[in-house]
Amino acid sequence: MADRNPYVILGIPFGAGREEANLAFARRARPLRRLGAEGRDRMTELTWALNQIDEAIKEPDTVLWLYRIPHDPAVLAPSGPGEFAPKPRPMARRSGDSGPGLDAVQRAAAREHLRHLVLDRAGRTAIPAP
Amino acid sequence: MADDPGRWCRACGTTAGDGAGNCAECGVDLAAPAAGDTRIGQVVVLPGLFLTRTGIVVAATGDTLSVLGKGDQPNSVGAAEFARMRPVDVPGPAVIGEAGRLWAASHAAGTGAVKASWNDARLKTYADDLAGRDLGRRRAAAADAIALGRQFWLPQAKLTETELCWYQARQAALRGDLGQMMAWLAKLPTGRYAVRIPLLLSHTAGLLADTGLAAHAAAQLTPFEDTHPDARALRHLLDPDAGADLIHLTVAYAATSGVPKAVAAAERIRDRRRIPIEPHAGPNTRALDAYFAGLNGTNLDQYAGLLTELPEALLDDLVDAHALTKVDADGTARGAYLRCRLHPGRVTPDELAAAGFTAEQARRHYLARDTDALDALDGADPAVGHYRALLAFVRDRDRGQADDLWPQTRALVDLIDGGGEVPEQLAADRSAWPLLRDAALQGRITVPEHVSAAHPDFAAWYGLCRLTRLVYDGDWEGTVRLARAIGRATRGGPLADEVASLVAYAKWQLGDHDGALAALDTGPAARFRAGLTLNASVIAAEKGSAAAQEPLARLAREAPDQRLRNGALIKALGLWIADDAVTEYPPELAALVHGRLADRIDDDDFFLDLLKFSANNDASWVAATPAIRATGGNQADMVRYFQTRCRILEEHRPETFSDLAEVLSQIWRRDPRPEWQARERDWFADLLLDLVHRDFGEAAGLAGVIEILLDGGVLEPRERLILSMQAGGHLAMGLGDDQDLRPESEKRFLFDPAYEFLRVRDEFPEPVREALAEELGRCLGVAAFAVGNAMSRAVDNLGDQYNEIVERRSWDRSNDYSLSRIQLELLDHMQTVVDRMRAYQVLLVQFPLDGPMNEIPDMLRGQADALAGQIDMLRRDF
Repeated sequence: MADRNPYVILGIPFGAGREEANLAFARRARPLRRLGAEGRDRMTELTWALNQIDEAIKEPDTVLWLYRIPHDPAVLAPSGPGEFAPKPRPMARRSGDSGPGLDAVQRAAAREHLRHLVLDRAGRTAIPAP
Repeated sequence: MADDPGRWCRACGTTAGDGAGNCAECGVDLAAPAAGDTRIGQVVVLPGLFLTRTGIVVAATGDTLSVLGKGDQPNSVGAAEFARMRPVDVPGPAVIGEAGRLWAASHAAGTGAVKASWNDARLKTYADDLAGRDLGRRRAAAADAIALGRQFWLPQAKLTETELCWYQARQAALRGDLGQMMAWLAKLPTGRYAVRIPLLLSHTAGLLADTGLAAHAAAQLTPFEDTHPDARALRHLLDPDAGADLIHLTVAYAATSGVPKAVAAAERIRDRRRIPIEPHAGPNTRALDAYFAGLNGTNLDQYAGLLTELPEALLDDLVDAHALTKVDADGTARGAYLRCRLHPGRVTPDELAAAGFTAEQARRHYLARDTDALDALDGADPAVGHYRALLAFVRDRDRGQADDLWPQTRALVDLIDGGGEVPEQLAADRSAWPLLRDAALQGRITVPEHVSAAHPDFAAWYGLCRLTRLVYDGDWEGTVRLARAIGRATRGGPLADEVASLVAYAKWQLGDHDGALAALDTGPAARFRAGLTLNASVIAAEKGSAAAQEPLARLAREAPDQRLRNGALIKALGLWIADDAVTEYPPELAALVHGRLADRIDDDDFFLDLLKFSANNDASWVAATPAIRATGGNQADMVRYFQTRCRILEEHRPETFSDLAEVLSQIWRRDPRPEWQARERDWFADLLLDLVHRDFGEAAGLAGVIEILLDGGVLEPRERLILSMQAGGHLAMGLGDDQDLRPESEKRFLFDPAYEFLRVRDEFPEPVREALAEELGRCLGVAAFAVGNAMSRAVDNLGDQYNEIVERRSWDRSNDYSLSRIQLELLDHMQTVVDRMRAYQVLLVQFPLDGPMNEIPDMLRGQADALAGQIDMLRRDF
């Protein structure tokens, strides 16, 4: 049998953290109490695996001596949009009726046009005779 | 009309009706200011016999003109002659009437602007006379008096106060003094003097620039707006709060312009249609036109600059109409709001805060699993409550806040927690799969046939989870069997790769290394997948370094993670070092190392590992290559040190141990000192310790190297003492028959370290102290023995010289004195030898000596005593 793999022994994905390892340890250790000597051996193995994850593997991403299951973390935890990974939703409109705003811009545009007309007329108007 | 000077009453300001005559309102004559005879007041050059002078026409009767030249009597000049005279320009403000022209000339002569020798008093008399002849002339004279600053004359004009105010206002307008103009106009009766309308109109730009003046002008125009379009338009332009229907007013005024484009623009503004944009169009006009364009289907993404005047509601209209689909960040709250509405995923946190888009902030904090940031948001926002509840569930399966979830999400949460058969809703939502992972791996869920059929991707993923569970359970045969069954469903891609990886693991566990590697399919021709290649390297490593080299080399070249690339290379090197079956440094590994060292490496430790490995296993390459790329001073020191270390191994190179000691000493003085130097110092010191522990005399050549290290302060106390005294011992034993140890070498390599040891010996722990004392004693004893022989030869030589001098003194009486001095010097030299012998003897007795060495102190003492006695005797005899 090839090298022991603490993640496989605990039944957790490669790179799982201490918390997940602890939970897996508890889950796998529970039924061993009924197995006697075989259970003790298995418990020793689980303890070793937990210790490896606690102490020996500081940066899983750089570990080269362990077989990785899964080989790609995204395989077992695929990403995709949905209720638990929501895509951004556009902000709701916060303004109300645009009528008053349109009226204001229309008036402002009319005023700009009037200004142009008056200035044009002014440019052609001389100071009157006395 | 108001601007028709002949038809309004200047006295009271009313419009006079249809003709000249008198005002119907006040009865005053409507006569306009009269220019009179335009020849009067003209300044001309009068011809003279010898001199010319200027004259001015003061009266005219038919073709005869009275020209006032020199003195106070005018001369008569015919019209024809007058026409030949050269006119003279009179500077000053424009004037209207005869009197005004005379007053202007008088003023110009007074200031010297016109050279004249006429009698000025006489000239003014003419002017006053002309000014008062009739109403038209008085009016002209009044306007001219104001223009010329002769207000004191105005009472003589006998005009109404308001008429004079009008002339004052007009003159102020001519000067450009709008403040004065408005002040005089304010004195005119309200609703009269409509002539003020063109006066104000002509100064529209100036009035618009001053809100105070604009307000006054608007007030003056108000009474005229019903009858004068210009007054109405100008008033509403000057007073934004005038309250009229500006849009229809503009349309009506445009109609008076007679310009079709102007009329069309006004009508389109009124009708809310696209507006023909002229260069003079203002920002609101352009924004309004862009708004209409957007609502009509034009994309405005490239025209955001036109929209700055639009209020938020209109921008929202454009967003809703998809006329705006993207906006660049501009640092404004409004820009942030638009970006939040259009593409919230690309908005920065600052923009989210500026726009108050709490829902998106909450979503991001949720995705980042940042509980603290979520808690910091306003909980009153339903989105915040939703994401807090969702995070609690996703992270801890905590459903305590589930009531805050949005209904659709709440339904999925309930399904996830239900276990058992996976419903379609969950299978259809990929974001839910990770939440089902543990249940799938532990066999707590199943997937009904119809769900598998409807969602094959989910079925494949679930199959992979089942396969993984078999691996976790150690069911290797079952893994291989199930993999065959689900392999077709994975249809290539990452899932198929993972199936292959699980099968490979199972086969490996069953002892089938080759089958495992074949399942992984990571050969050179295969597409690179970091995880699979890494797994292949783990299996291959059990077959030896050669088998692991290929996958590790691929990882070292192609892995996306720099740390993984570096680690793979180091592992490949380590496997080769540990593999006794492969003795030669594999060229493929060497090429990888060479390639990495030629590239920039930011990690100093990794750089050192590769360089040191190469120095130990590929020294000739390190010694020769210029291709190692050092990044920073520390790496440059590493290259210098290791290249020197490698070069001293090559006989054809000039570098020696001294060069290496020199480099080491220089780097040793760096502050801070690089950590790697301590290891290299240890290596070098151990090497020297190894080299000096051979027959005394053979390592005398290392004394220079040791001296460099001593000077550099590189060595530890124990190393320093041993290497120093070993160098002394080797130097002493390497002496030729006629050689002696140089005093400075004797001091540095023997006496100084020996005394230092005696001084600090208690600082060394017992076993070290004892071993050190024995070694140093051995070095000192050997040196004393060798030096003792040299001293004996020296004493013999001195004795021979002394005897020769004694014999010569017996016959050479003429040089007796100088010979006696030489005798004394020889005795002094002998005494020096005695002192050296005693120095060695005194030191030696303080060190443990083995075997024959034990006799050296006594031997030295005996020789020293004998020689000293002989010297005493000779001195006495002398």
